[in-house]
Amino acid sequence: MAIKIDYALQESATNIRRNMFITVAAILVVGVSLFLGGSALLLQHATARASDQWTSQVEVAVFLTNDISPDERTQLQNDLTAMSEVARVTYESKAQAYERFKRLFANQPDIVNNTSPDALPESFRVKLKDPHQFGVIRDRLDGRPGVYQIRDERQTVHELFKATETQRKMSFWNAIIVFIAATILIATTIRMAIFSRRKEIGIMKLVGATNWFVRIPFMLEGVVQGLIGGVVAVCILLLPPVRSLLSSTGPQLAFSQSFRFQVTYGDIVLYGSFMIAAGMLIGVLGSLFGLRRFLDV
Amino acid sequence: MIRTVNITKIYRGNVVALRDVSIDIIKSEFVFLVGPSGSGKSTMMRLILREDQPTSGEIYVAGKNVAQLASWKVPALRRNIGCVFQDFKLLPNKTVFENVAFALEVIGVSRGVIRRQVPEVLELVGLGDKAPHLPDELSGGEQQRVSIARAFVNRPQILIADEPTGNLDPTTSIEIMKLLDLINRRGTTVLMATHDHAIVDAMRRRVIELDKGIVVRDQERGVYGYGAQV
Repeated sequence: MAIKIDYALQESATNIRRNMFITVAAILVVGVSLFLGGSALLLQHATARASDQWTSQVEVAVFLTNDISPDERTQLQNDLTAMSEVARVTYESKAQAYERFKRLFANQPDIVNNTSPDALPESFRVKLKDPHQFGVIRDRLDGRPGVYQIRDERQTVHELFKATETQRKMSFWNAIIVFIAATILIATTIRMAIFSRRKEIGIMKLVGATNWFVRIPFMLEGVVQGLIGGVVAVCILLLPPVRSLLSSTGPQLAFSQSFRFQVTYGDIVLYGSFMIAAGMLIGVLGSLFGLRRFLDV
Repeated sequence: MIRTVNITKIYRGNVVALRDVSIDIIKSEFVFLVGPSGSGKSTMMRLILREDQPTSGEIYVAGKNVAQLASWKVPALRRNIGCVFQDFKLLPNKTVFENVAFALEVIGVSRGVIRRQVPEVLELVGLGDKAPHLPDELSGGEQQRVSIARAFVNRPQILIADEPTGNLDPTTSIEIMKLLDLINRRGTTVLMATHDHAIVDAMRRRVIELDKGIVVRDQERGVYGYGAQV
């Protein structure tokens, strides 16, 4: 039997109007849960992307001792270039290192003023074909005269990301809990709507209405609530202050000015559509749970 | 039209509502189901409507074994059965017309058909002029006639009435009975549960008497009177 669309729409509109207060509550809970869950996912996504970008930028730094002779240095550069694992080698002088240092700590002049240009070591910046080959390079260069320290800067990046991971995991689980709460609240809304109309439903069933005929207006109501909740969540995310706040909770890398951690509008649009779909899913699930018991007439 | 084979219904806590009941109601028959409260009349009605299932036994309604009917087929079954209740079960916020139309709307009948059939059935029950009124504005007898109109509007094969005159005075009750008789004469099988002695005695139709879940009497052209078996 075809269910008339105008009938279903009219029924759900009436229900939403009758239970305005609790409907608004349900929409807000869905909105907040999706906002929390969505921002957790967004951060995860943006972090993963930033991590990729940074890791591909970051190099192995071979710091040199102060007493290295020009010959030793040239020899070392040649050896590095000759290694099959190495993609590119660039030299960074003390002066260049200081320039970079000044740039990185531009907003902390005290640090810059207290550091003499001579204090920073010169180094070779080594880009590897495969970043995982760091161990090979280190083993080969360790202890070689003139080499002060070999550092894989990817390691620094990873530590940085680890620090934010716990935080992101927590917000993700928070979001799951609120997601469940939202589903239950929608179920409650639907149940109240049904309760106020149980007489009508009883009559409907007695005159031979199918379960779907009874169910669809209520499900539609749940879906509309979830949909609006999803849209609310996306709207909150799109607010500029919220977006910059989100961006600021991500890891920031001092040595990589060109790649600021950022949640882009593109990310929000991508995850926003997921969030709206999730909102509608909450609506369907909630109304199904809410309806279950009432339909065995 | 309605046939039960050895049905027994035991509710939770070992309450026996019906015990080994076998009755056979043929098409176009008018049958009274009588008996004191708790004798199993309402359970019988519920089982026929498949609001509940028997503990054992078989029930055939309009050729289908209701006891084993898949739940998704229940709506189709109920479209063949009109129901009338003691408390009318009208929707207070809908007009007389809308209440009757409701029964057609929920089974997906088109607007055009609704506009034709509802006035027709309201005319039949003598409420042609009450269509725009709300149930509150009607007398009890009129409200019951609305509920009969609703039960009959899609021309069911069976009409089940559970104490339809229970809330009405004798004069009004007779009018309701005339209406049910009229519907019966149009070919609908009517099964009516009642306490009303006067009506049963006056109608002289088939009477099935239940007592403590057992059929104690099944009599053509019977009267009420407990224990007055012929």
